[in-house]
Amino acid sequence: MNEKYDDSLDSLLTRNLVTPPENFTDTVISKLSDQSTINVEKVASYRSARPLFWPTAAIATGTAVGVIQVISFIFGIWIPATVG
Amino acid sequence: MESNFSNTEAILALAASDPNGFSPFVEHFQYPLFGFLGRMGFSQTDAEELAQEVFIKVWRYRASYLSDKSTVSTWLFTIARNTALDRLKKNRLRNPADDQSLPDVEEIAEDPLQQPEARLLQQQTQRQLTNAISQLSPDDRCVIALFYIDDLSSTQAACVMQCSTSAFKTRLSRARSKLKTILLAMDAIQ
Repeated sequence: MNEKYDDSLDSLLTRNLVTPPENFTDTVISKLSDQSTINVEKVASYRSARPLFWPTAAIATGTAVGVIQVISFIFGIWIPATVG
Repeated sequence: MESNFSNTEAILALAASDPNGFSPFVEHFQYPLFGFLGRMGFSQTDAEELAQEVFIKVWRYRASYLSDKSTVSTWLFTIARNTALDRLKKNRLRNPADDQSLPDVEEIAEDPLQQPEARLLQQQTQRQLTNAISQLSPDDRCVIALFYIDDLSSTQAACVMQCSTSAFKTRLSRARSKLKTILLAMDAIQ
């Protein structure tokens, strides 16, 4: 414990200006328990979303390749025809 | 405050796998934490909100304590200090004219055994004290608030303030003298 000054200011400052409510510990613990439940739910939802990733990625890659092929086809026929 | 709650017991409570194991920690540290927040100038409502925030942060970041060489109380009050300073900064940004969150007279802790007149006088003095504290800079408030935490030595308090013990004592002396001047002007002390 720190050495105190033993003056009138000391006696004022050693008083409690605010105090914890009676059920404070329970409130904190229930908040922490709620947060743990939310975290578990979040993790579960991330996992259920994972299987959707590969089909989505495959469709996106297929679409991109298709677009490139169409562009190549157009340029391959239209540009030589215009130049010719 | 119970003095039989050692640093080891605090570490064990931090290492608990579920929040129920953390309750002895909250049970023990709630009193010094509220004392700190009160001396920082926060109202009862704000202190309750901030104390909850501090304990939630302690639980969430408890793994980082294991690599910390300080005592649990030093670590806890470092979190409390940062949380309190953040709130003071936010309050000042939100309402620059009145950054203090002064408690209402009804909000100040009451002793049910006191006579009404004595209680009124105490409430008035405490309100003057809170008003005077709110006129200090956030760092001055911190230095004073940390010094009056029973199980925190000056060295540990200096560690929370990230300065040397001698610097802490100098800052404390300055902050106390500023507070005394304000309270003398208010006729709150002799």
